[in-house]
Amino acid sequence: MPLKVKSIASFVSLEQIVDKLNELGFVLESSAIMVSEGKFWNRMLYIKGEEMVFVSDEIGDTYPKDPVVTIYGLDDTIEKITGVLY
Amino acid sequence: MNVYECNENQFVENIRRLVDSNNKIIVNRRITLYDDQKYGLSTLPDKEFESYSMIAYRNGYKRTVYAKVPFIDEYHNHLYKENEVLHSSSNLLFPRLFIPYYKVEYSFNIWGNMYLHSFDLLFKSEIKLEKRKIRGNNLLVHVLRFIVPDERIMMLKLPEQVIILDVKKLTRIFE
Repeated sequence: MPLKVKSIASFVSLEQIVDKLNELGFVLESSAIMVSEGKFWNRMLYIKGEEMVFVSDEIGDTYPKDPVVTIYGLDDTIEKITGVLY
Repeated sequence: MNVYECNENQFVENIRRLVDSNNKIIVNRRITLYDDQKYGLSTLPDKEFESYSMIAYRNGYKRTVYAKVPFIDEYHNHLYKENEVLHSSSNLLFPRLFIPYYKVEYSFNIWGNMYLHSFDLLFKSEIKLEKRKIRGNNLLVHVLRFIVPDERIMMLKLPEQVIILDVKKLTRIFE
């Protein structure tokens, strides 16, 4: 089954997103400091087999926080992750 | 030609919609290494500045940064002395110690318009105490190294139907 992409900017907390990724068996592979739109972000890559999820979380005490989650995965994985994002 | 700048979410979703509507998409990707004084320690967020706290100190964000101890910046092959200014608050655009980074740019053209997404990925720091020969003496000194980011984190993962072309330079021609 081909993998699909989905990208969502969400208002849920990073902890909720990470909990869901851990529950689904994703493992944090690497992270880096990214600068985009004049803001600093912590960009993290989670991997499970062929599936990948990029989570970008703005650094600092900004409000509201809207982590960007980009999923490259199976329909079922996309559905489960987007379930916590909306 | 109009050039539309997108954030990651918009760029990926635009491509997904085009793929879902059976359009063939060619995406250009340019990854360039920069070492041009864009990022210094004074303008790093507090949390990120902590990774340099073994060798540098400052009184707050956008305040002058000083060397806490003598150290060697191995990437730029430079020795900093204790209390030397690393990034002055009165000269924020030109830090003396600066962080190398990769600029990652993705773009595609459709119906005469260009859609662009770009971001910078900073090298991570690693600081170790090592023995080095300085002016004829073997001394224990802090050494700052910059670590290249993981190649996979520089990528935007796009659907298999999308062809990604790596390019070196983007030139816009206006007629």
